[in-house]
Amino acid sequence: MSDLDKLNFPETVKYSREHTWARLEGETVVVGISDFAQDQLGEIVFIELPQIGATYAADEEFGVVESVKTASDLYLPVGGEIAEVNQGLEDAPEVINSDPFGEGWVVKLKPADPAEIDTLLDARTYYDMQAG
Amino acid sequence: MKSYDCIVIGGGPGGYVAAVRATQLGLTTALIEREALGGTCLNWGCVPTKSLLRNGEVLHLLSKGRTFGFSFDNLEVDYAAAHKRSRSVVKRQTRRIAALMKNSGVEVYEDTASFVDPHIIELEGSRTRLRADNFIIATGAKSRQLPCAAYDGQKIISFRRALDMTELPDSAVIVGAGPIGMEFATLWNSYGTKVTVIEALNRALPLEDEDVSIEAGKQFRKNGIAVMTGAVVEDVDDTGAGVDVTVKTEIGTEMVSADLVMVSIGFIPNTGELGLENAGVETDRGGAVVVDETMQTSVPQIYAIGDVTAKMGLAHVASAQAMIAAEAIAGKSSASITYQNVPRCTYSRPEVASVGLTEKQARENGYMVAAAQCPFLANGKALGMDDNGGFVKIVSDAETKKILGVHMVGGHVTEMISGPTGTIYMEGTLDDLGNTIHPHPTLSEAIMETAHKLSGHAIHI
Repeated sequence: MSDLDKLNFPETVKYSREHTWARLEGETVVVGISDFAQDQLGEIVFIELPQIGATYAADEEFGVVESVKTASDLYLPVGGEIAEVNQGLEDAPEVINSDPFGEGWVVKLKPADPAEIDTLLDARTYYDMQAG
Repeated sequence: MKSYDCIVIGGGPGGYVAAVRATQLGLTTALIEREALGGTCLNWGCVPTKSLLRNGEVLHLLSKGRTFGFSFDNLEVDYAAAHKRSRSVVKRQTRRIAALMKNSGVEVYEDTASFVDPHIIELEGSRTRLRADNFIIATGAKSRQLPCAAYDGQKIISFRRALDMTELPDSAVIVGAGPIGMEFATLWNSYGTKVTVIEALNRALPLEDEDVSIEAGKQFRKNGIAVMTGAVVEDVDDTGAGVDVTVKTEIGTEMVSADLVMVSIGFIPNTGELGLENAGVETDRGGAVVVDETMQTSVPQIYAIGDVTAKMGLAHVASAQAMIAAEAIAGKSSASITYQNVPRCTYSRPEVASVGLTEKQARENGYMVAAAQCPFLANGKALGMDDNGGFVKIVSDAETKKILGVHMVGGHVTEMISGPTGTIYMEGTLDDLGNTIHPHPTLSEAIMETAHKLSGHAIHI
């Protein structure tokens, strides 16, 4: 596993304690797994994605990611209805490892409350939590 | 030219295990795989079949709705979905193996290798050569064809095509009632295909203990699978709509018609394209690489493991041989394999699992044999699961009371065989097995009961 300094903590997204990130794009929230999390997990071999149309509250489990080492539940950073899932991850889940904030996005959702995203952690706070 | 301490040719359960072990022992290692990491086992064998059989099992349970108190209209069964799940399972596992190679520091070449001389191989695709101090040949085997009918990928198929099918035929002939034949028979039968199995020897699963074969055969037939024993395929005629299979039995010749025929009559080692003559590696008449106890071939620095040696065509044997070969190369000695004490599992319904000598083999080996069976009939767990057919059979040496073989037929027995395998490995006796407290309620306590029975003090039976 890498040094924290070698990992990315972009300020363009907000973070949850459970290592998922959220980014508002118009009326959609894009959700993914943080660089720290993918580094901890190791090479990802499988991801169980939710159904389109399913609704979840913030901090509810919406999927499972499986790496060579372990399986980890994924928790939604904000509540909403799943509008889109990243189908490409079915054939190439390792994209989460190589591009966790870009091509490795996991789901897009219609947020129940767009303001919920402001309750998430900013990059600095999330970084400090891992460092501490 | 790149040089390695060890090059493994073939990335199946033999090859990739050998590569990992070799790197653990400090050897620079490369692995050449021409098709898919994980080999036959992971991609077109053990793993996808178990996934499919699980789907078949669920379907089987659903068909017993009344027993379990549920009913439904319009049950929709989608074999394509079962196939898709099996491929997804395979993909997950191949990714694991790829990551394993990377994390172990094994350099993987996706190519086909052949020997130029005893120290150098040539890769067909990239046209490069690699040198190694040692080689481990782990190229596996391919499905044997019927002498009268070659595979055509459509109507005359092997297990590989069977695993790629997204739709099942209405009817099928399966030639060979070994583990592969009976697993596919079980699966297809679950999905409503009319299956006829044709076996040349006198019983289904002919390598198992006779009592087990007879019981399994009874249950296969009861489940609706037609099994013809003492029957040899003489001809396969493509009729356009399907196939007409001419079968010679003890009483005469008959014709069985079906949509297709799957052939599972054994394997031929993959040695033809390796250029073994350039390395001086000897093969036997069947094309298998000749090896000694340490998996060494006729050329000291070249080893061979797995199906290509034709010693025992099981994945776990290949993996065990892989450890021995890698350790031998690294200058360590390892315990050799006692092949008769390797467990064998068949995931048909009912399942069959065995380890050690059959009763017949024990007598032929000169033992004074004491053998007994304990049925699952009265087993509480089996009754609760509504799956109480079959039995446990123990074959023991009457003089020393050592356990020589354990043979089981019934639900879940494949998961139960490792315990008795351990007992035999430790050269345990009936008392050892009988005195080992088995948990209740389990199917496995029938093993303990059988030991008690042989010792003359069975409680429940």
